Amino acid sequence: MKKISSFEYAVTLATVFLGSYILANGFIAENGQSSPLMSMFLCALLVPCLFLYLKAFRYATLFDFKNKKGEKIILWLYVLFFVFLAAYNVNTMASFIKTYILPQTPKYLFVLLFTLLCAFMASGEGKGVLKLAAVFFLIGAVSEIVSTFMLREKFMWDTVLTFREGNNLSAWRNVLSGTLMLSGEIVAVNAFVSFNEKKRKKALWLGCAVGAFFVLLLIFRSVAALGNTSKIFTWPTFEALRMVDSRNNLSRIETTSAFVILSIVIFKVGLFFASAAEGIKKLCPNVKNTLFLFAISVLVFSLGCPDFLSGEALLSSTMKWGALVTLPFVLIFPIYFCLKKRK
Amino acid sequence: MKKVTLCIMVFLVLPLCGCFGAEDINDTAIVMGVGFDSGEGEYYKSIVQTVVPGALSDGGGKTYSNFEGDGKSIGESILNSSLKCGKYMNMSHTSALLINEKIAEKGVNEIFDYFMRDKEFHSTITVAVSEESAGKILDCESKIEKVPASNIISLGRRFRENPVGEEINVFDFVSKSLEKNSAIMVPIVKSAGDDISVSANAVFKDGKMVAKISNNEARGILWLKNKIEKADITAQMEGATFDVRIEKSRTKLTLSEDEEIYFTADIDTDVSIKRDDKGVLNAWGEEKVLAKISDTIKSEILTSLHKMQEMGLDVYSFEEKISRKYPDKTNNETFKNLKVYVNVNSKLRD
Repeated sequence: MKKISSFEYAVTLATVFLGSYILANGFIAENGQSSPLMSMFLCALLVPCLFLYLKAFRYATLFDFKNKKGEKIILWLYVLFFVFLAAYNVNTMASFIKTYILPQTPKYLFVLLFTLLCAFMASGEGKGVLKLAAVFFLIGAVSEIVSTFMLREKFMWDTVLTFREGNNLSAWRNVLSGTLMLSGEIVAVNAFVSFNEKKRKKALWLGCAVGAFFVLLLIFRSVAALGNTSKIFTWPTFEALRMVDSRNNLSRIETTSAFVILSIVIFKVGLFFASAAEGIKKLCPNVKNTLFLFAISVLVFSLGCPDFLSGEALLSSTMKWGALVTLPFVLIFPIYFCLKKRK
Repeated sequence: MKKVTLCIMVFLVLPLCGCFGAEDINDTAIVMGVGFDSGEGEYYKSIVQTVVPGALSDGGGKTYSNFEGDGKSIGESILNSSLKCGKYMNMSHTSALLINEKIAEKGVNEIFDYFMRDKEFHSTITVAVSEESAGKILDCESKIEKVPASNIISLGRRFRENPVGEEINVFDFVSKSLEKNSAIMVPIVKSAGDDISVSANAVFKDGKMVAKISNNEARGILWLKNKIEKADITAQMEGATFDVRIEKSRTKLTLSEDEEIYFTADIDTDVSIKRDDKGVLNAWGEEKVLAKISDTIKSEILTSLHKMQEMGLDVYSFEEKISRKYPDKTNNETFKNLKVYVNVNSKLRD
């Protein structure tokens, strides 16, 4: 079995954060100009969650807790949760590509290709996916820094860091949802990693800190460029990129950025695939790898194709209900694992 | 090897999907500019300008084609113009939007809503109002620009040298429309022989053109908006006129509250004397001449400000700035009664 180094673990976490385009869009569309400030609270709230994971997964990975019947049910729920996360990301990204880049292509084709690609990524040794993180992180980080640099002329500095938008209750609900959704993605990485080494703890903090920086940068640059219009777009992070137009030069770079966004989200979905596959492998050791990857792919494809809601409504309801859906997986069950280890 | 294969596969996802429903380049018309005139009754008349790539490359023949279409709505009129084209009109390169004054007076919200929602259009499209029909402006065969729509796109370049208006795009327009009580200034263009010129500036409020201001008044506004890079002004001293070139200018606006809320504009300019055939500089000395230049600039600013305050058109976004800092201290009369102190400091550049 391949071993995950601390560096790979840190880079994977940072890449997962870097791929938070969907979350960032929902967050900005709901919070508008106050998003940069609220996203700082989001990152601050992640800290206690990370402490919890350090305790919960101190000696064991997520799918090592399978001795009791109740625990098995919880782990099956986790498998479903990862499949759902993968399907949600695939569905949203396919809608995004169809809306902005290739409007003539039917959505199911994107979903099919994404699903096949992610299944291929997760095939064989599941941990292999994590070993790819450095490539995706490098591409994503460079792209984000370059596009922020090119957008700098459009920044309206006086429109960021304002508290005046929206009502406080919904703003805090969005912060909570955002924190829990990001935490959910971190849990997926813990399907492979336990923290019984000191270096791993450092890697967790480092990966999350670097990742949080990129999330903040993404939200900040989008709001700074879009100003008071942040709330009227479904995909504000991408709309900001569409504004790159340095004196009529270097415009329309968003198509290139779409490739990068897509590749990072595909990496993330590949990771969820691999986590779900790892879970099934540990829960049913006798079942063939290809069989459960096929089952996951069918589920993701079926959930990824339909348009349940419009893009705007989907992102909005994710922010509204995200906390409720992810709460057991990122807080309640990890607390249970934590208490169990103490006993 | 697996990593390389995987990376190639990831990057092939989009190009592979792109073959589905693809439009052949020969069957595609690249749109550069769109204009709107008022048609009969409530109808819109759209003029869609496409480039003729063959003429652009070999330098022979007309480099553009204009297609007109009527419709009850913006979308319908554009669709009807595409019927005449016979090709798929690719809107993603549209860079100019021209709106006839009559439509502007009726209201432009429908146009901007359409342009913001349609994902083929970019929000960086330059906007202008046309005094004459938009079709006529989009038919001005400039000697410099290959396609008439480029005349509109080059407005920003013109304003950098001669700031008689502000380059504004679809995004700016929508963004300003969302500001509290703000008005928006859009250049008005008219044909001038083969070329176009900026004749005045339209002021929009609540999606309608409500006033027209002269180019000089527009420049007075731009000083306070820190949008003057270079400018030429003529100052007068005891009957003798002299020409001054503003080489560089920076405006710093400060919002303060004493007994009431007020703005202070500190303007630093670097100037050079371009014409002094009456020997003003020698006769009065540098200090007095610079003071005169500062006074001239100040008077230009205050004339525009008072006119805009009289009309209640906040093109400066003052009220928005106040509401950001003092959310409860704005009302409908805030801009009209606002005090703005202007300090101009001119420096002679060697």
